[in-house]
Amino acid sequence: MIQLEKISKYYPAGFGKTYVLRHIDLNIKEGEFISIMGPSGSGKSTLLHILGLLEEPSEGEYLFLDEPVQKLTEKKRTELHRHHIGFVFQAYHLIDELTVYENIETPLLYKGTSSSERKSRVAELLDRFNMVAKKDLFPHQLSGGQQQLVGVARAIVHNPKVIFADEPTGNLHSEQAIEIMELFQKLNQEDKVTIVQVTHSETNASYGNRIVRLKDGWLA
Amino acid sequence: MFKIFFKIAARQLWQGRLYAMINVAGLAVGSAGMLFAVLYISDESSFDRFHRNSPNLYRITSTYRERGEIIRTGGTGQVQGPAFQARMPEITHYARVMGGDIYGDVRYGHNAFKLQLLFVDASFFEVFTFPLLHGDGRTALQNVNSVVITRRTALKFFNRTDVVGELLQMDADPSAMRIGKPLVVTGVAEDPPANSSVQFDILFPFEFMKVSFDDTSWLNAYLGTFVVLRPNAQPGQVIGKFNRIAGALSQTQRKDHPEASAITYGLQKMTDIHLNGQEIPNQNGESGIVNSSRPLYSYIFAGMAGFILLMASINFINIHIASSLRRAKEVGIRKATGSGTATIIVQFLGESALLIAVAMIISLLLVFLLMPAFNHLSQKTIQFSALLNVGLLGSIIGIFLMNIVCAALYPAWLVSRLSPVETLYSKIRLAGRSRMGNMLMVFQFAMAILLGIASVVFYRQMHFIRSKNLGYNPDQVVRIAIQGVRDVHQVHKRFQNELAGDPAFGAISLAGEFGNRDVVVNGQKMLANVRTVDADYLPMLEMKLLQGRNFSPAFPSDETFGVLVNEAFVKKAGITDPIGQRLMPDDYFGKQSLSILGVVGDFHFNSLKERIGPMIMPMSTHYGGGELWIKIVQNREHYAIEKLQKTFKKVLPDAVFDYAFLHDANARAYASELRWQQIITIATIVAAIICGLGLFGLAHLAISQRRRETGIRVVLGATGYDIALGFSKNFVRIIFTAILIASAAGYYLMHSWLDHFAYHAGLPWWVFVCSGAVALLLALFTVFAQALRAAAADPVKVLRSE
Repeated sequence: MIQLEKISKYYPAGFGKTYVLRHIDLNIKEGEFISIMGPSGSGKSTLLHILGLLEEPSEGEYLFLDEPVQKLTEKKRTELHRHHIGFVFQAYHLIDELTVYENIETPLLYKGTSSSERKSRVAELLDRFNMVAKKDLFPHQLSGGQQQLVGVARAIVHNPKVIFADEPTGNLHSEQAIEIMELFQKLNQEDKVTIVQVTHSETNASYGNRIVRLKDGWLA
Repeated sequence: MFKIFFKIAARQLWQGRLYAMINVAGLAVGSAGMLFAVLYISDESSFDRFHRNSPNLYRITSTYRERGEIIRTGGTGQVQGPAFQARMPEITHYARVMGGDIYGDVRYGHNAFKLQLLFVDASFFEVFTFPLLHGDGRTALQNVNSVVITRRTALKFFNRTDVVGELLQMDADPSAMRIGKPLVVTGVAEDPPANSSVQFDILFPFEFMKVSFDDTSWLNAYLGTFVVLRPNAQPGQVIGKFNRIAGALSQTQRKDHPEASAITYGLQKMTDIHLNGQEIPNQNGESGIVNSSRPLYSYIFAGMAGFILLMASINFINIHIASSLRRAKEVGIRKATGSGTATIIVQFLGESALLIAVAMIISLLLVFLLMPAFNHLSQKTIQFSALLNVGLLGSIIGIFLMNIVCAALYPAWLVSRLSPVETLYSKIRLAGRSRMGNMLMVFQFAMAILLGIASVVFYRQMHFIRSKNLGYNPDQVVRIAIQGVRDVHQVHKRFQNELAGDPAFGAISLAGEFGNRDVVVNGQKMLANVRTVDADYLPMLEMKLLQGRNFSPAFPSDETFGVLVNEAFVKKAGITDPIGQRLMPDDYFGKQSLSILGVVGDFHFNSLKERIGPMIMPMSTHYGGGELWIKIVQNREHYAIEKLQKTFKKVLPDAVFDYAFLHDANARAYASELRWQQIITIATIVAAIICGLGLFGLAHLAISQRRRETGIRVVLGATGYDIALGFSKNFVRIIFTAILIASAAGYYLMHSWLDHFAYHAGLPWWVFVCSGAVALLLALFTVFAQALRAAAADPVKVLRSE
């Protein structure tokens, strides 16, 4: 589903370049649950952002669903993004001014889903995550774990093929972290969602079925 | 403590310098407008206060009935003044003043100038305060041929001011001709100040005018009679005496004119005259009063300035409300560490006061720089130093305080009420969408759109006036005045001879305007405008002849028995077969009736403010008076005017060459509308800029406060367009509401303005749609440009910096 060939990312620095990623070759098949690990500054997040189409690589080729991403128009890329990709952040990144319900609904609005379908889909997720009673609350009225639950719900509401998660449990205590990781596992196994997560924790990585290690921008 | 406040204030302003600049710019422009309004109003109310007698100085007014209408004017006849003073000890002095719009050619050697004449009683300088540079005011106007000239006039003629004893000539004046002596300069007066309703270049004794025009009627009202009352006199009692005395003295005259018997007298304070001129209908500015104005102008001026200042205040409030939330944390910490609400209000007010003070200084600078433009627009000669006057200094402070109260108090109060717990634990939603802010923006945009509508309507009406078919073609026609008592036919003939064969000239016609006069036709008396014309007049002006024929040299009897009339005359008189019908003009045009030769298609001989009335046109070659109307071939204007001037010098060597293109003369009727058009256009542009700046500031603020949200949305798949649309929604709602309000108000106001014109361009729906659309587009452009930029920002960076 995802193929990276000789992907590099660098920034200009003085007269030279600072490489963040070097010659990354990576293949991710549908249904995998991959953990990207490595020390701070090893390029994990950059790799995730490139995979999630938030950043563009400086060199190399990236095929997403067999389409060469670099050659796509902005519009087409947004299309791919809207239909196939979900994001989960360490800092949750919910919209403060919207309720739980509205936060989950947002990706469907951009995708152009009909109103009745949106309603049933959001209701389904609220039900599944046991958050029906909290649907009219605002993010700041929830605990961190609950906020991340909303974040996950928002990431999968539009039935993406792949979820990219950037240290999804980084701000949570261990009990909440377990809850989220179990949820990921379930999504991967029952809903066949491909998951790519960046994590520091070996425990979290153990929920997945493959680990990609980075060091100084190289695949280790 | 204070030092910390100041430090915070300075750093805050620097951090929010974009918003500070928007606020200062708006308030500075608004305050400058307000200062101009104050200057305008104080100048308007300063008129005629400089007379020493002004507390006891009055003008006698007349109230009478004409054609069923009650008319109150500032005019009287020649007899009232002396008759009243002789019988009433309350009157210490009186002075009759005749003139205002009366001009005459006065000559020294071969130097002739057209001067503004005023015929006044010898007591003029005792009643009014016009200081004399040379001569004695008490005796200056005692002889029939003595005159007092102004400094300006003296410099024009003699290039110096000590000219008492010099002699001046007036060639074609009926009085001067009868007296047969030159005029002797007996005094030189200081030029009348700009805020005087009495203006003149030269003063003549009243007796001088009486030589050719002595009028003993009690029933006339054309000149101004000014009286000085004893300080203890009761104006009410004085008026009662006026009416008793006049009633007794005018008894026989009233018997002959029963329709004029209802005339009564009153008093008007000199200082009230400027804003209530009580001009005399159908009399051409002879009451001594010029430049009278209406308080309405002051109100409109102040209103517009006030609205612009209000708009700037609204920007200030909105931007402060929105950005003060950024400071919620500071307020929270202050309160948690024991600061009271009052201290916080004072702190925020202090910061605002700093900003407003800067704005005030800039506004003074603006007033200083824009003073010439303002004087040009308002037709005044106000000096910047007028602001240093104590009262006006007070108004500067007043505007400063008003700014603080209007703009700064509400945001400061709002911020001071924030609860420390909510702010410190970020439990409040800091979106800055306050209902108050929205309402203010609706009001602000409604004002701007209303001004936009007004300027479009004004522009359309002015364009309509310029392009309207007047019923004749004024292009390339020049009018040349022939002042005084001259043989106009002789002048006309000599011009025709001198210019004969010159290809630069078309027809040379003699035509005179005599105003509205009584005409008897079909057994009824009616009022008709009288204009004498000759055979060349109609073809020269391309007027349409609907029936009958034009005057013709082939019929010599046309001169004495023929007359042309316009369509409106035929309609008003109710005659079905006008050709050959007889009509009787008033005495001036002879004692025999005239026969209608032709009917001319209606043309606009007055401004488009008035409906076309009935008009009769006897032949100018038979009557005295008139001007030369000359058609000039295109592109030869420069040459033609020079040639006309030369010819004029030859034919009338000592007269003043006074000419005007018909187009310019017509435009003069709309001078005040044109001025208001300019003022409204400027106000519209300023309002649009202030609104735009405010919107820009608010959108900028909203977007910078929601950068994180924007980033999240982009990650969730939003395009720049989606983001911009999200931001615009609220603004679009506001502007739509504003368009509705402005259209309703605009429809009402513009209708009542257009009603002043008998002929107007109408008020089509698209004026409202277009004004609204422009506002909407500008607003969307402002918001979209910023939202797109925000959406284009790298979401990764935004989200990471959280």
